[in-house]
Amino acid sequence: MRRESGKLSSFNWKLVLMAGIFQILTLIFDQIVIQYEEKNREFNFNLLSETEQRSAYITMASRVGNFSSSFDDINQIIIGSNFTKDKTKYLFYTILFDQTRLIQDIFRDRSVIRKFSNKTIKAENLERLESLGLDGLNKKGGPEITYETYDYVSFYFKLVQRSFDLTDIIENEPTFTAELDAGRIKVDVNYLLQIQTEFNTNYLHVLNSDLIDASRSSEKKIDDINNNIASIQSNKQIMLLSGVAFQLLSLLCLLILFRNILSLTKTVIK
Amino acid sequence: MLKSLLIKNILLSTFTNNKKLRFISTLAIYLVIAALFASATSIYFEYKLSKYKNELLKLELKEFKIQEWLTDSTELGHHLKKGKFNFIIIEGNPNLDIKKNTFYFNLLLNYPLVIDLAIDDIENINNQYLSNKFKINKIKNENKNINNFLDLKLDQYSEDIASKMMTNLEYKNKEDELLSSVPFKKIKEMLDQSEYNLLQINLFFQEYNNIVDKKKDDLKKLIVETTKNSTDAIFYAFFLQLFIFSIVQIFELKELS
Repeated sequence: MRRESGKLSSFNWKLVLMAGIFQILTLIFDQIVIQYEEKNREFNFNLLSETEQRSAYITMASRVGNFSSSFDDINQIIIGSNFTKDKTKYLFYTILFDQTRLIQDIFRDRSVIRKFSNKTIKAENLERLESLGLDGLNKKGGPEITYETYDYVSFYFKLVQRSFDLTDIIENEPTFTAELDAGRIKVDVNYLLQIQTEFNTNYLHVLNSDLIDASRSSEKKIDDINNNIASIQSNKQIMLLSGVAFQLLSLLCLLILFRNILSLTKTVIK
Repeated sequence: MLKSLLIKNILLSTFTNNKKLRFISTLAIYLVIAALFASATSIYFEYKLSKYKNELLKLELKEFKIQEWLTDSTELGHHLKKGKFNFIIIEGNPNLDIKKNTFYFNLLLNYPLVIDLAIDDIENINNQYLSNKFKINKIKNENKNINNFLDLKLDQYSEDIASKMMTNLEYKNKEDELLSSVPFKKIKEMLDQSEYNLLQINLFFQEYNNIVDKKKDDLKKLIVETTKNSTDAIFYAFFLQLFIFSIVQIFELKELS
């Protein structure tokens, strides 16, 4: 009753309402900023890990490429040489050792295993050849080589295992001999070593090319992540500053309201 | 009771100092408006800065790739020279029977794939001036021809060795025989061509590196300049508001008097 003359006008009520709305908007924008920050952190982490990944793939591809190229060169020289059997054996042994180390090193990396976990590879079915036994292999014209699709990572671990098995055979039977193509080809330990190293080198070339592809796909991901980060950061800044602007607008409404109240008659409280 | 008395006292003192408070509230309103202007200015400049920073980051990533190609093309060129040098040592050695064609053919095998990858990256860069300057399309066609030649020979080789089992010597002789029909001059020319193309690719990336460095410098300058402009704009906006406030106050005081 006694405040009849000091009642807030409709404009002043609108100011109160707007101050409230702006406060709510400030809160909403603050929450959006928090969510952007979360996303930004996630993308930054992804950017860092993908950049490292790309760099790792490139280094690995370069390593595999250099090794394969050296294996090819050494192989070419050994085949064209009249080196003694022992020297040839030693050279093939060192290549085989380096190849197994290289494959193990590459596939020890969890990111490589993850990258190629769903990949398959088409390769010679050597198990089938082995199952034929020495007599089955010594068939005129040689046995038919069939191809099989293998799980990518398992296939490379098999290459390593096959190389280890071969060195065991050679150590247990250094004078191992066999015949192929109805006795036309005499197989000795050097022949076996050479076939295995060539086989490994062939699939190291495949690995090299796949690692290059992996680095290229990482590059695309980095570009996408980078664009996302840029867009998030720019949106975040806008949201942050908009939040501040709404806070200021709310304050402005309250100040105008205060000023209007001051302009009201002094007879509010007597 | 005490609370209501306190509020009453505050309100009474408020209304007795009405003029002073009016001035303070008007000043506060103008300061808030100035802050709003500063926020709007910051939004505009922050958007610009974020765009520049993103560009700068993209250029940094490009720099990685450039450095990788500069290293790879130089290493591969070095590998080629080393290969040629190795053959000089091998040639005439009675312990080594390696045919010149076979050796150079195997050496040539290293290049087309790498050149193809470099051309892919160059095409993604899409710099017409540099592409024309270093004749990238010509390099692409030449590399394609070399690749076709290698594929043809490798296919013939694969067909022959797949037809029957061979001893090491048979493998080697088959390879030598297949390549002996190709004039050495042709393989040598392809190898020299690959070496030249690799050098052109290296020069492309060297020059592109300069362009990227310049762009990075320009962007850095632009970022500093934009930051300075943003600060200046906020400062001027504040003073403009203060000026408007003073004028309004003068008129208000005049009206009151």
